[in-house]
Amino acid sequence: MSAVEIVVSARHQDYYVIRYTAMRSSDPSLLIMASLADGPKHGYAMTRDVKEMAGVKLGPGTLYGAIARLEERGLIEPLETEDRRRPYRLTGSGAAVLREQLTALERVARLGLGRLSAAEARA
Amino acid sequence: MRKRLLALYPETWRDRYGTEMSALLDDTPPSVTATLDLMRGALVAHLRPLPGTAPATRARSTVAGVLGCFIAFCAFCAGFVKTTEGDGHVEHAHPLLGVAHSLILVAAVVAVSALVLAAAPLARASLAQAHRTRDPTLMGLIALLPAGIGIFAGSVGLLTLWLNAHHHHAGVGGWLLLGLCALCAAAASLACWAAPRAIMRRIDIPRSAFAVSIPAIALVAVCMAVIALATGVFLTGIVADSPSVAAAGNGPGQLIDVTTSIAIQLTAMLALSAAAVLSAARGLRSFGTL
Repeated sequence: MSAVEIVVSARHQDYYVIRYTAMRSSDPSLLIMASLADGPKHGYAMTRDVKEMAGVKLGPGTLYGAIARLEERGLIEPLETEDRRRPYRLTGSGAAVLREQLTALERVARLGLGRLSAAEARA
Repeated sequence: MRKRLLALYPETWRDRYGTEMSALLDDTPPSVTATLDLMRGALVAHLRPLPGTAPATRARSTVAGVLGCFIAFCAFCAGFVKTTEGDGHVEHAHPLLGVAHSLILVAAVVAVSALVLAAAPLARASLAQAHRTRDPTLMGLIALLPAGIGIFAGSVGLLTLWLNAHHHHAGVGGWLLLGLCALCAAAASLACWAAPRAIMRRIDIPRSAFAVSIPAIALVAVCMAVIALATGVFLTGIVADSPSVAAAGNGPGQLIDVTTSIAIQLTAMLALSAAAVLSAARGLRSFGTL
């Protein structure tokens, strides 16, 4: 299911909005891509950045599992190894997918917050 | 210690990400969650191999993967045997219990026979290469297998002798021996999985050897699934038809009942047999392209 499809279905069912937001905002792949959005990073730099950015501590198995999947899908690519540490960077399609997913999340968040405010105003 | 856990990852994974993962482990403080995450990642890596893995490597990974699952599976089977020992009479409570028990025994015999069949051509290839090259590391790895099994058998023999000499009252010495047995079993299990895995990496395995080993190891995986399903039937039968046996205390200190014990064993058996079947299916697919 693409991000656009999820947003369309989210308009109809609040449950899926909440579930999707909860699921995607802690998705290691999304967090890694978001971390690489401002430039290449190696494993340790990514875990530190993700911890600061989202408060999520990525374990080594989870981190490299996600890196392998992203690399397999051509969304990130490795650079030259520096002292046993290999940095990764977003590819063009990785940047496009990240933008699409973050936009979807942003719309979901905006929709949810708007409804919350409306409900609070009514109460 | 944590870096040693990287050995749990598949060969292709270690070749590709091993160095950088090792550097990451150097950079981060050790923690239980990170260690567990590393172990979970290794399991996922086995279930989902990296693309572009050479067929021969996939075939080797299949043999090592199913073997690892089988060794762990045996531990839970031993638990099941221990849990149900002395409950022979319950098999007559319902025909399904007897059928399930017989099915488990038959599948266990077929699984062990298939494992021997799978190991035979690989053992032959490794012995031939060790004889030809006189590679000391290879010879050491080959010697590790009988040494591991011998130490385990020796510890079990010691425990049996002790129990016989003390009229089956374990005492402190017996409990210490039991602990030693458990340690030896763990060491032997590790040796029986790690040594063949390392040997397979060092030797040239002919296609004819894989032609026997891969179908045989797939049969082992199928037998594991049959045993797990039969255990499920046994558990259902025992709960439905022998409630007094199902509710009886079990395990060290009788802390849990028979139902819980078998349910834990069954869960582990199902998970391990599913992993073995997945690995075998991948091996059978890769065999066509060898």
